[in-house]
Amino acid sequence: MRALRGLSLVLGITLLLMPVASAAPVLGDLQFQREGGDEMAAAFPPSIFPHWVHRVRYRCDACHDSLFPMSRGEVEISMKILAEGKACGACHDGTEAFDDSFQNCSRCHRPLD
Amino acid sequence: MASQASNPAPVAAEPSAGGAPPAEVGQSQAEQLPPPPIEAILSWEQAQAELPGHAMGGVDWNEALEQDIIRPRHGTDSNAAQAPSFDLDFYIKGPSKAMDAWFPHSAHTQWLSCENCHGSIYRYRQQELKMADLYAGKSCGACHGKVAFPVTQCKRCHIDM
Ligand code: HEC
Ligand code: HEC
Ligand code: HEC
Ligand code: HEC
Ligand code: HEC
Ligand code: HEC
Repeated sequence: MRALRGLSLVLGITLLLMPVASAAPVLGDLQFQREGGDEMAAAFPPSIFPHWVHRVRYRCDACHDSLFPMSRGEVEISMKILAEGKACGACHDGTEAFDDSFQNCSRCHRPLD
Repeated sequence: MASQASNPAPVAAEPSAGGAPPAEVGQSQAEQLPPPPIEAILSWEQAQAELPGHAMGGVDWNEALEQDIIRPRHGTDSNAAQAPSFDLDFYIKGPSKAMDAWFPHSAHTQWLSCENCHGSIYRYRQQELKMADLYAGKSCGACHGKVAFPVTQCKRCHIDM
């Protein structure tokens, strides 16, 4: 679905997505990048992952390394995997945290601010 | 935080005479207390205003724990296995005393389990630890600069520098 080890194309999209993101990035805020780029990215950005929101609530070992490795782009994450209750879906299920219903898409799919 | 300060958490080791059931083994106090007010905040600007800053910049996350502003959980399962707290704090020898690096297990095991480091990142002793690896995002740099305070804050590790 996505690989971070990707291409100036991906970089181009990233820059396009967040022209001022380098101004004051929050330490640990990530944005996923999709393998081979994504034509829709400007209109519907890949998901973000803000570490700070999560570390206010959880220790690192709530996620690492059982749900995610401490690296980027090594495991596959997609909406299908979320819907199976894996990866983000282990929590974003409507009980522990908001789910993937339509009013919530843009809480994850937005540019990094 | 004043309300919490005036209502200190019970000491788990002293079962109260009042007959309250003792805490279940494997459950931390963090999981028995309600979530702290900061968990209602989703804006970084607002959260940052609640979190203690560090003199060298950024949030001082261990101070936030100390002040009970955050109570990070082990996971969604409130009975999840507890990582033991581990107070083995020491200096990692450098080429000179001023270059020694402070490594507090205590500051790390509040967040991390042993397996997060021992296994993938470190053996237990006598490895070659070098700044060059940190700058390359390895060793301590696997976290510092990505999620934990950055490598540019030299004196947080090189206390005597
Ligand atoms: C809890 C966060 C979260 C929510 C809510 C969420 N997504 Fe995603 N979504 C992700 C992550 C993480 C990925 C994998 C990285 C990427 O490609 O953006 C992803 C991937 C995708 C993709 C890429 C292809 C695929 O299937 O993986 C699409 C399209 C997508 N999401 C659409 C949506 C729509 C539409 C909604 C709302 C109905 C939604 N997402 C809600 C986190 C979320
Ligand atoms: C709610 C889950 C969650 C928590 C809690 C969490 N992380 Fe992560 N972490 C992630 C995800 C998701 C990624 C991205 C994984 C990917 O891209 O495949 C990540 C990536 C990372 C990376 C790689 C980042 C990079 O830029 O290369 C590091 C380092 C890391 N986490 C450290 C930590 C530390 C230290 C803590 C505790 C202070 C922590 N994480 C807490 C989910 C979490
Ligand atoms: C251990 C549980 C857990 C995991 C795993 C997890 N989250 Fe979350 N996440 C939460 C909780 C709890 C919140 C706070 C939600 C709330 O208050 O509604 C949150 C909040 C967020 C927010 C902030 C939403 C906002 O409106 O500002 C985003 C974005 C997010 N998560 C994305 C993700 C993505 C993407 C993943 C997977 C890569 C993920 N989360 C994995 C528990 C989790
Ligand atoms: C996250 C902790 C950490 C931070 C921050 C840090 N260092 Fe280091 N540093 C280490 C460790 C660990 C070693 C290896 C053991 C030793 O030599 O003390 C080291 C080694 C060194 C050495 C010895 C020679 C070498 O290259 O290995 C020098 C010089 C040094 N650091 C300078 C700096 C400077 C300058 C900064 C700030 C820009 C800095 N360090 C920030 C942890 C850190
Ligand atoms: C943040 C990473 C990290 C975590 C988490 C961590 N350690 Fe360590 N540990 C280290 C480093 C770095 C060293 C020093 C290695 C060296 O000197 O080569 C070390 C050294 C040790 C040593 C050898 C000390 C000596 O006398 O040489 C033991 C024993 C140890 N750790 C046990 C543990 C246990 C038990 C846990 C979990 C409770 C744990 N560690 C968690 C990074 C970590
Ligand atoms: C697995 C991730 C990880 C690794 C590896 C790691 N740290 Fe840390 N470290 C953290 C986190 C998380 C904190 C809490 C503070 C923060 O997030 O800014 C922390 C805090 C510290 C502190 C507390 C200082 C303060 O001012 O609060 C010191 C000192 C430190 N680390 C040194 C080291 C050294 C030296 C190494 C390598 C030998 C190392 N760390 C490796 C994640 C890590």
